[in-house]
Amino acid sequence: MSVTTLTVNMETYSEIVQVEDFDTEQERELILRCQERDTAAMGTLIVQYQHWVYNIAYGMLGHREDAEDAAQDAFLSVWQNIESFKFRSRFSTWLYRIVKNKCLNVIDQRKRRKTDPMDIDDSQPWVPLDNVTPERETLRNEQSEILHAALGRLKESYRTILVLRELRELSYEEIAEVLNCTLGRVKSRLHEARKALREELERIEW
Amino acid sequence: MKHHRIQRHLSAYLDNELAPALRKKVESHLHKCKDCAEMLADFKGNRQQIAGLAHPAPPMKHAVLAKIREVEAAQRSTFIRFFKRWVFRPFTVGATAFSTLCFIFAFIYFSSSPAPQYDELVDFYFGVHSEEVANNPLKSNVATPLNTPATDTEDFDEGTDSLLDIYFSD
Repeated sequence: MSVTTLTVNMETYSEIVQVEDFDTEQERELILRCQERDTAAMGTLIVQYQHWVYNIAYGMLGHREDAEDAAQDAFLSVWQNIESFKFRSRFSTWLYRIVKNKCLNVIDQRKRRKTDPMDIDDSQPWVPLDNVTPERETLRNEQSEILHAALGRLKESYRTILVLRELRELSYEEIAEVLNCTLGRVKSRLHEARKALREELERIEW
Repeated sequence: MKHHRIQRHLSAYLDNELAPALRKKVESHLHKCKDCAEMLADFKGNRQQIAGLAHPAPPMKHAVLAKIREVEAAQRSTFIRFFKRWVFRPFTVGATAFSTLCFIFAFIYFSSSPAPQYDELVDFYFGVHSEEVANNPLKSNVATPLNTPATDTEDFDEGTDSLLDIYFSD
């Protein structure tokens, strides 16, 4: 493999895999640079957050292309409104709130177009994160489809809170900030959402 | 604590968000209640499954940056159009109108200015060079180097009369 190919592959890899060792100081500096309209800094922020932004959107929308569009729109909104970010909350919380609102817009548009909100996109297979056997991968894909179908039948508020908690592992405080509600409301809604998902999965499996 | 009340805390128990005392109560209930234990196991399983949904996002840096450039270019052209239509054009029209008006007012003002008043300097010039003054400067009421009175009165004494006599003798 030539050096050029290796370099290109490494760049692609770094864009796919999020940068885990990204401390808050670096993030703060990047945000400040974005506020000074530095597109290179914005590029780094996108690489950092694209994985979770996309997955949250996918979890909420259940459609790859819609999720990608929502994620891109969310980043565009971040760029357009970054000057209003005053470091009063975590950047991720602020970003996820934007993603949530973008996804809700997509859901509203779907409702207006009278599209079935449970229309799950299965045109593209799930990409496994780790190395698994083809049989296990098939089983996993089936489980994922069932899970997505169950998530799609949930109320939007239940789906959102489940994605934020189970997929992104946000704390209750962060969820309360993203959803703009109290901690008590987060606790009760999360319990109701988990219960509703369990019931939906039982219904689908039967 | 009753069964359904315990069930309400199962989710918070799973996330380790319960106070220690309440956590103990839930744990002791879970040992006795099969339904609640099953529910907790399902919650755990579903959590793992949802976490497994995460997969690498398609690279979107270049697409987003391209969108940003597109939007900003559109905003810039909108601004330029706005500037040309509402700022630049009115400004040039206004500036032309203003300069034309200034020119007209200046022309009117200078063309209708009153006749020049009595000019002491002109009079001085003619006074000095006129024949009458040359012949008889004492008749002139205009100060000339010849008839300027001395400012210092102390120097003006009787002796100057003889000098005047010499001067006017011819």
